[in-house]
Amino acid sequence: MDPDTDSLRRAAIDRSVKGPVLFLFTNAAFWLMASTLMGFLAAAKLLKPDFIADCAFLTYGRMQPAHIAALVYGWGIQAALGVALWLMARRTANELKGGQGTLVALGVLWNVAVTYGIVSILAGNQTSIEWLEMPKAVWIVLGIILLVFCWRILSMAARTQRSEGFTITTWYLVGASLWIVWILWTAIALLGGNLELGAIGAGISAWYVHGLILLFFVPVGVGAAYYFIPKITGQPIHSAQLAQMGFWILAVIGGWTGMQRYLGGPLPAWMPAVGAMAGVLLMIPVGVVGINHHLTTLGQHKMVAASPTLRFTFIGALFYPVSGIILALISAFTTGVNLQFTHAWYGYQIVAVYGFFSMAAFGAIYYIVPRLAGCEWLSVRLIRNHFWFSVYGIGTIVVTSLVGGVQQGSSINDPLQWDQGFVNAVLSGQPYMAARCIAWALILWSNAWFLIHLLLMVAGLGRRSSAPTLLTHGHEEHLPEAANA
Amino acid sequence: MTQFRKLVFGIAAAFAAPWLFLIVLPAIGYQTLGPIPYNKDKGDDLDSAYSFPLTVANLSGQTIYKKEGCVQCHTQVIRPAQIALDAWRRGAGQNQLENGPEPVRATVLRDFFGEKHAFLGVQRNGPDLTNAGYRFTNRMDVHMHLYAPRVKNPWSSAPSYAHLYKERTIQGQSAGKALPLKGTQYDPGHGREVIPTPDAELLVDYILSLKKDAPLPGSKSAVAAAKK
Repeated sequence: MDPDTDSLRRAAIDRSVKGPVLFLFTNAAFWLMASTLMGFLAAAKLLKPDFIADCAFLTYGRMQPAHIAALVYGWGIQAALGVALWLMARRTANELKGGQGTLVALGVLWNVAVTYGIVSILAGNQTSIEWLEMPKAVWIVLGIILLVFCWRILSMAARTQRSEGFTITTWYLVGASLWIVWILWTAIALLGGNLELGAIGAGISAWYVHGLILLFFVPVGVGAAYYFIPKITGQPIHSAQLAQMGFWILAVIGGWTGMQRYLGGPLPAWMPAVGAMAGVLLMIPVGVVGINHHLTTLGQHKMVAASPTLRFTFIGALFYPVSGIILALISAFTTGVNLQFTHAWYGYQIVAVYGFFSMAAFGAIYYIVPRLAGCEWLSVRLIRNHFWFSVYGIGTIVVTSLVGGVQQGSSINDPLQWDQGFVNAVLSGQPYMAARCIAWALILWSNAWFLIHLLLMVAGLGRRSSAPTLLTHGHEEHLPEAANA
Repeated sequence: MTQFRKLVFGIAAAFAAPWLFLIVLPAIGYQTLGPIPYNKDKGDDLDSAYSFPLTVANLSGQTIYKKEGCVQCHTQVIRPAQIALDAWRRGAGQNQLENGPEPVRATVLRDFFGEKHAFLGVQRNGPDLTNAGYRFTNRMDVHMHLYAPRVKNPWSSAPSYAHLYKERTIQGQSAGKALPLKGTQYDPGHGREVIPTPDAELLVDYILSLKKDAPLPGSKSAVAAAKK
């Protein structure tokens, strides 16, 4: 195919997904900011519970689940759907055939449902089921919307004519679309009805959380990384065998993990044991993917400095093995006992959803939005600002949560403190809470600018130029063609 | 097309196994479980007129526990003594003062009979509540923890659930259920008092009902057999 037809075809594909994808990205960025603000407030309330003590909606028990719900349902899933829709259309060379209006309408409904859900949590009407704290009616609405979105994504994969449409990115996106619907509807059927499940229900909700992370956020993030790293470095994926291996091991093991959350708890002992084993074994696919990404980037690190997309994707690809190691630490019997029920669990959620997935999603957004909006990012400084504040902020939260978790856990399990009440567990955690507070405040600053930057782009107020916004100057002539495509 | 079908089939097959064996079958299996009758012949203290579990937590009070998100900081899990210290901590069970001769028993599946969803908890920013019913000697102590958490423990990071209480002007005699806040940082001031709302009473009912340490049927005989 000659280059002109090829770029015309790409432009047609981009146009066909423009509406829904930009809608999802902008709303997601709003929720990301809301979640960051609530993360700050939750940490502040844990540190100083009497800070604005008169507002019931500010109590930690409401703010924390609202913060996570905004991160997962407001930002995470919306951004992931936008990325998946665009990637799948490009990967399989399919235009989105009709129904853009429906997708945007469903996007509106999604945001209405999430808003209602989060307001309900804050107003004191939550279910207290982890990651499913929003009222049960909201789960069903979200489930139906996801069904439609995933159907559209899958049908593009089913229709693809060209064999290069079936690369590893397509696999991950097909997997993510199937898994999230399956997992969410299982949760709706079992936890949303009138079934009495007792402690088994708690196990299922832990499985749901891990499933959403490992079988939705991870595949979308990894799929995007597998697309953008070769695209921008101009090098093919280092090893197709490693890529396939990483995918199938994740597919086989991912669904078993989760119940180690209640290791030693009231579940039948084999259930947490299987989960713990899976949590540790997941180091294999994580490591395989990490090595593959590393080898693909090798020798092209100059591009990491220059391209915003590659920079975010690269740091996300670095956070991925870190999240795998943290999961193994909280799963393994010896370390898990001390890390169970501590800040380390929060650290894992943040490193997986923010450190890994969101960074990969930012990278994708920096690549996709100029192609849809028809203009380039305005400011190198804003992108750099977003990058460094996010990396340092998330790094701080993850490290302090882990170290704080070790302190908290070993204080709870210290035989010498058997009669000390809870004083040390609380006091030793406080410096880390202060750090978490500051980190969220810094991230809030960068996310506010990210949102403004994105809104300007969507409004078509970006730079009118045919050259992409790069973070370093003077090396443009060395960039391969792909980086500009 | 066939490539897509193969992929979907592979993914479905890989995920169906954990879905079925870890989630669906245990969920169905749980429905068939029933209480276990005690048996004096097998060494239980109670006869077969009783069965395990003996009690169910106060479910209407649990609603308030759920709505306030108490699970974010309080667990209801006592892990077995061989892996964690939970069972040896002061206040973990009936014995509130001393290190007992035996650890408190770990929580088991049937402890949560009657509860639609067991609120096992997210994190331990506060103490475990499995046997919290023993920890408080009277209702007012629980009310004081909920309304004025830093009176007893100045280091506590518990929020004040002031919205579950009502502040009002004392009319005539102070109500018997008014919280003893005089002289604390939560003192509502002269001529004012703080009384619990029905929701606060429900929550206290629930907390006081948390006593998940009924003897396990056959456990004594098992201990005796192990000692031989």
